[in-house]
Amino acid sequence: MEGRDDEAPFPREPWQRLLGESGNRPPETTDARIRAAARRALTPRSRRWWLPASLAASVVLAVLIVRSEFDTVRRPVMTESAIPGDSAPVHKAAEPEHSVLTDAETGADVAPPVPRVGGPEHELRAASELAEEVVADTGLPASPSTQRELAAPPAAAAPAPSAAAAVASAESAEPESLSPETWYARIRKLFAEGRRAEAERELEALRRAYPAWAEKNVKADELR
Amino acid sequence: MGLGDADAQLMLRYAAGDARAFDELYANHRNGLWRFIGRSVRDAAATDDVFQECWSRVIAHRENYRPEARFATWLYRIAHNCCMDHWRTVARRGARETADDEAVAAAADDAVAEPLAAALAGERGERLAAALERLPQEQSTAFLLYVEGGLSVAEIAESTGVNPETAKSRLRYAAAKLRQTLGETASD
Repeated sequence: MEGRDDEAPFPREPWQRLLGESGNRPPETTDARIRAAARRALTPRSRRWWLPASLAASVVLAVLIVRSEFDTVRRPVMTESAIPGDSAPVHKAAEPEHSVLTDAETGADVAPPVPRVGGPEHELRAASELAEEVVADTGLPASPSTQRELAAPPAAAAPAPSAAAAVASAESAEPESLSPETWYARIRKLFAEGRRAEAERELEALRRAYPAWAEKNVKADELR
Repeated sequence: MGLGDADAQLMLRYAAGDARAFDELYANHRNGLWRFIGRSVRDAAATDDVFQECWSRVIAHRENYRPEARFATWLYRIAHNCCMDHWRTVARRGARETADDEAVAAAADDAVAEPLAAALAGERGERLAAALERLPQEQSTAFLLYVEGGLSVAEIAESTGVNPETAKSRLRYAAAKLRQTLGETASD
C-alpha cells in the first residue's frame, strides 16, 4: 500500500515486509463464514412473506379479541337498562330506586325521591300506583287514584316499558302478594277476557284478604 | 487507477450484487486486516470475533458505501471502531489509555532492556509482533493503521479522533520504540 501524504513519518514497506513474515492470517473457517455471509446478503428476501402475513394475522386477532371483550362488557348493561324489571318480581319494581331510575330516564324535572321510611305499607302504596298506571295503559276503567295519576303532568308518568313489565309481573304473581288495587285490576281484566269463574274466585279471595278495601272499591255490577 | 480505487470499484460492484467482487476485495485485505485486528485486540479468541464483526459491517453497509475516500480508509475505520467496541466490552481500554506519549518516550529504554521471548526465537516477524504488543494501545493502533491499512496521518487522526500532530507523534514514538526493540532491522 502506498502512502499518500507528503509528511509520512517513516516508510511503510520495511514494516509491511516484517509484519507479513509473521504469517498471521485468518483461519479457513472464518474465510468461508464471511464469504457465505456476503453471498447470503445478496440473495433476495422474497421468502420472507410470512413476516407481514403473521403481522397482519396478529392485528386481526387483536381486533377480534378487543371487539369480543367490548361485546361481553356491553351486553349486560344494555339488558338492564332496556328491559327494567323484566323478570323481577313486582315488589322489586315498586321500590323507590325504580322510580328514581324512571325519572332519570324520562328526564323529568320531578321532586327528589321520598326516602324509604315505611316497610310493607310503603311498598304496597308504590305497587298500587304502578298498577294504576298499568290500568291506564291497558284501557281498563281507572280507579279514582288512577284518574288523579292520569291528570298529573305526563312528565311524572312512568315510561311504558315499566308498566308493561308490571302487568306481566302482576299476571304471573301470586294474588296474595299483590296490593288490593293491583289485584282488583287483574280481576277486572279477567272479567273482560271472559274468564269469569277464575275472576269470581279471585274476587272472593280479594274480599277475604282486604274486606274494608273491597267494601269500598269493588263494584260487582260493573264487573258483571 | 491505484489499488484503493480498484477496491472502491470492487465494493461498488459487490453492492450491485456481484458476489465475486467481494471475494476479490476480501482476498486483498484479509491478511492485513487480520493482523491489524489481532495486534490491536491482542487476544487470539477475540480477534476472530472482531474480524468477523468488521466484515459483517462491511456487508451490512454495502449499499451506503460511497467512494469518497479510499476503500482501505473506510475498511480500517470500521475495523478500528470494532476494536474500540471490543475494548469497551472487556473494559481494558482504560488501562491501556493511561500512558501518554511522554510516558512512552520515558519508558522506551526499559522496553529495550526487557528480554523478548519472540526475539529469542529468532523470527523477525514474531519479534515485531511481540514488540507491538508492548506498545501502548494508541501507538500500536496508529502504527497498524499506517502500515497495515495504508492510512495517511490525516486519516489516522480522523479515525482515532485526535489531531494530526498527535497522530504523527504517536507514529514516531511507535516506530522509534519498535526500532530499538528490533535493533534497527526494520529501518534499514
